[in-house]
Formats: sequence, C-alpha cells, structure tokens
Amino acid sequence: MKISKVIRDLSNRAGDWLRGTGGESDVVISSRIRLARNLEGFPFLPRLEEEAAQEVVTRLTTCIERSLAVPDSIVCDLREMPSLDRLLLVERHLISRELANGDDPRSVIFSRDEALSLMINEEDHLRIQVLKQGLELEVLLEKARDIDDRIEKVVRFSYSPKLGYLTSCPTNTGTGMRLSVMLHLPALVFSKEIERVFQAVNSMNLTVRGLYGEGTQASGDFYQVSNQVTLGKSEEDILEDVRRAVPRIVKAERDVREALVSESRTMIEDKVWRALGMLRSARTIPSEEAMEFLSIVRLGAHVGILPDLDVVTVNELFLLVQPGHVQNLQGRTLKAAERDQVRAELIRSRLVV
Amino acid sequence: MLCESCKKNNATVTLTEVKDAKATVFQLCEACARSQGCPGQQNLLGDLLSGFVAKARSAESTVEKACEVCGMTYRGFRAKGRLGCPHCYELFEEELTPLLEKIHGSARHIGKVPCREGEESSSLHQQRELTRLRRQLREVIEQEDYERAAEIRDRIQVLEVELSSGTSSSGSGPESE
Repeated sequence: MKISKVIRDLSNRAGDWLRGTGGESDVVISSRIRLARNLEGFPFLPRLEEEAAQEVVTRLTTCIERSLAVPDSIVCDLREMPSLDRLLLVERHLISRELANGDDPRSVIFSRDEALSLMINEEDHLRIQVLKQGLELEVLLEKARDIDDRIEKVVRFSYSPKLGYLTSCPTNTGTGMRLSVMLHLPALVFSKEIERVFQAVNSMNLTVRGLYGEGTQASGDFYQVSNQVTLGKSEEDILEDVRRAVPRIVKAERDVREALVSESRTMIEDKVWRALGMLRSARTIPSEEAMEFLSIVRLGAHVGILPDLDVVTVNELFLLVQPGHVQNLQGRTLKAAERDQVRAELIRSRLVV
Repeated sequence: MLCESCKKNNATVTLTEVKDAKATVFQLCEACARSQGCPGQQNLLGDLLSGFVAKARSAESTVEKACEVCGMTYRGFRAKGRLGCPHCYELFEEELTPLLEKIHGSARHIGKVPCREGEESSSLHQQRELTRLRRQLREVIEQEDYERAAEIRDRIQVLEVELSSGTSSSGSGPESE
C-alpha cells in the first residue's frame, strides 16, 4: 500500500529539520509552532461521540485539501495504521503520543518534507504543527499563520473575542499557540548547571520539556524550551519571549563547552573517543545508551575533537536508533534483544572509520 | 424546557445521577427535584444572599450546574482538566476566570482574530495591532532605540489614519485613551 511505502522510506532517513545545518546548529536543533483549533458546532474531544468524531475527521480532511494548505500531502487514518508505523510517526514528531494511542477516529495529514503536520482529533479537533531547523522564528510564525488563514477561509473555528481560540484545556486557550525550540545541552547536563537554566527559564514564563514533549525524558540531552502562556499575549509577544530566552541558554551551553575543553581537555577527549569507540564497536546496544553516546559524540564534533566526523550523520542517527525506526527498517516487530542487535549494526554501518 | 418528570413546570434544576459509573442527566423543576431527594434547594434564596451557592453546589450537593450543550459539570472538568465544549467557557466563566488569570496572568485575548471571509474583523485587527505597537514604542524608547521608535511611530500613524477613515461611523476616533 502507498502509506506503508511512505513509512518505509521515512525509516531510512531523517527529515530536513533534523539535519542540524541551520544557524546556531551547535546547540539549536529545530523550532516548532503548534496551533490548537476546534471546529465550531462540535463539542471538544472529551464529549465527542464516535460518529461526530468521524464527521470532524471527514470535514477537516476535506477542508484542508480544499484549502491547499499542505503541499504534497500524505493522509493517514491512524485507526487503520499498524502500531509500529504509528510509533515511527511519534519518533519523527509528526504525531503526538496522545494521537498515536487514542481510540477515536483520528488522522494526520503531513507534507512529504515533514515540515508541516496537521493532527486531527488529538486533544483538540485540529493541531497545526510547523517545524523548521534552526531558529528562524519569524519565518516559522509566518508559515503557521498562513496555513491557519487558509484553513480558516473554508472552516469556522471556535473563537470568542474575549478568550480567543477556545480549546479543550484552558492552558491552551487564547492564541492556542505553543512555540518550542529544541536544544542540545550536553555540557550543561554534564556540569550539572542545567537545573539553574531550568530555574531561569521558568522565571521567564517559559517551560522546559524532554525530547518528546510534556512528561517525557530528556533523552540524548535534548530539551525543548516553550512558552507557557497562551492568553493575554499576542503571537508576536510569545515569539519575543522565546527569542529573548534562547540566546541566553545557547550562550550558557557554549561557555560551559569552552570551559570544559580548556580546563579538562584530556578528560573530555577521553569521554568523546570512548563514546565513539563504543558506537563503532558495540554488537548490541539499547536505545538509551545509544542516545547517550551519540550526544557525547555530537558534543565532540562541535568542540573540534572530532573534526572529520559528519555531524549530519550523527544527527540522523538520533532518530534512526529509536525503537520504531529500528523495527520499521526490518519491517517487523522485534524483541528488545533483537532490536539492540539491529541498532548496533545500523550505527556501525553509518559510523564507518 | 419542561421538567422531564412532571412535564408541567419549567425545568430549573439539572440533576446528575451517577449509577454504576454511568452518569444520567435529568432536567427537573424545583418541586420534582426536591421529591427526588435533592438537598440544598429549600434554602436557595438564603444561600444566594450569603453568596455560598456556587460553592455549595460544586462542593457537596448532588445538584450541580451542568453544561446544557455537552453535559459537562465543573467537577468533571476539575477531574480531567478538560472542558466539554465552547459553551462551557461561558457557563463556568465565574470559576474559570480566576483559573485563567492564575495560569496565564490574564483572562483577555489579545492575539489573532479569525480570518473569516466576508466578515468585518479588520478594524478589530487594526486596533489590536495599534495597542501592540504603542506598547512596543514605549519599550524601544526605554531602550533608547530611537531609530526603531521612529519606524514604529510611522506605522502607528498610518494605522490611526486607516482606522479613523474606516470606522468613523461611531463618531469617535481610535484615540479614546
């Protein structure tokens, strides 16, 4: 089938947003905006009967196609999709865990370049997500707004002049906008300064989350910094808050990296080369361990310890070593021990000496 | 709406009966609600006067305000943190406003206005933009960035002219501060 072929193709490579070649790419991986919207005339998800949920999927899918908001789009009915494929979409940030594991009629429409993903019947009827590598926040906001405007021309979203876009959870109401920037902070984690960064970020009305958003672990030293407030601030205000905070975190990470290299060069070199050695030699490796070593290796590449290493390959591996990707590469469900073996083989083949 | 029990009086009470983890909603009149053993109704006026009615309803009474559109109760919202439909925001406004203020520091939207075809929302857009620009102007003046301040001032002037020519029917210009 067509969708399964698309999924197989995806399991072999990373999306453009993860290439890590944009500005500030030593620390900033990508930026993401998501807008929460609900159709007028339907209850929110917690009160949406199955039949109405199906109607929401049909109506939104038709409207999105009519609005031409998603170029080169791939439409997936998630109820029909095998769990392994859904896991792969979660790992690629194309759908959330919540959308992957729901029971209601639900789907996702994403662009082939993965820069755009529209989730239907997640926590709200529609979640518009725009992804971009680096820190081009204005471009990102403009794109999100353009897509929202196009869809709004053919559909009415629940809106009140006083409270803005109405969402199922009051923490999203207003702009319905969450702007997150994904950062790689290995030096701050290593030097145990990360807690101080969290405190500083919280005092700026922003919040820090793990690799896969709310309630997830910061695997591979990746963190997402995002706005907390969606009401009483305009989209530009939110953008400004994040834009002001990120360079400070980037600077803190770079300062610690520099200090580590100048003050403890041998120790850092040893850590980096050992990590690379492990990745190049291991015959079996669990994903958490792979993420940990990849993180150290990525740090090494950016502080000049591994000048010949291709950082794009390392960035891609962060994604390809995830359980859903490893299993999709084999085209079947694997036991944990088998996965660890396939993963080690994959890493060795990509990180050839 | 008529009382579902006697079918004579107007229904003024929403009774939610929970049985075997299943909630059934009844719309009843005062008298029928009382006959079903609902407490807390006799002293309604007294409660209202003492201002405790909202508290009593959500805290201990089995008679609870439920959304007439989706059936969500405030207690149901508190349990899951999710509202049932847009109307819930109106119905539970009293309870939600302090909550929104706590979460966001404000309970008033100043962001995007829907881009709806054939609807006159552009003046609302412009007024919001004007408010935003004025605030921005104050900020850049504080930072002594006069070049940027001049740019913003120009944009404000353009917007003010557009607004007063487009919405002059009300008689007053946008400069009502």
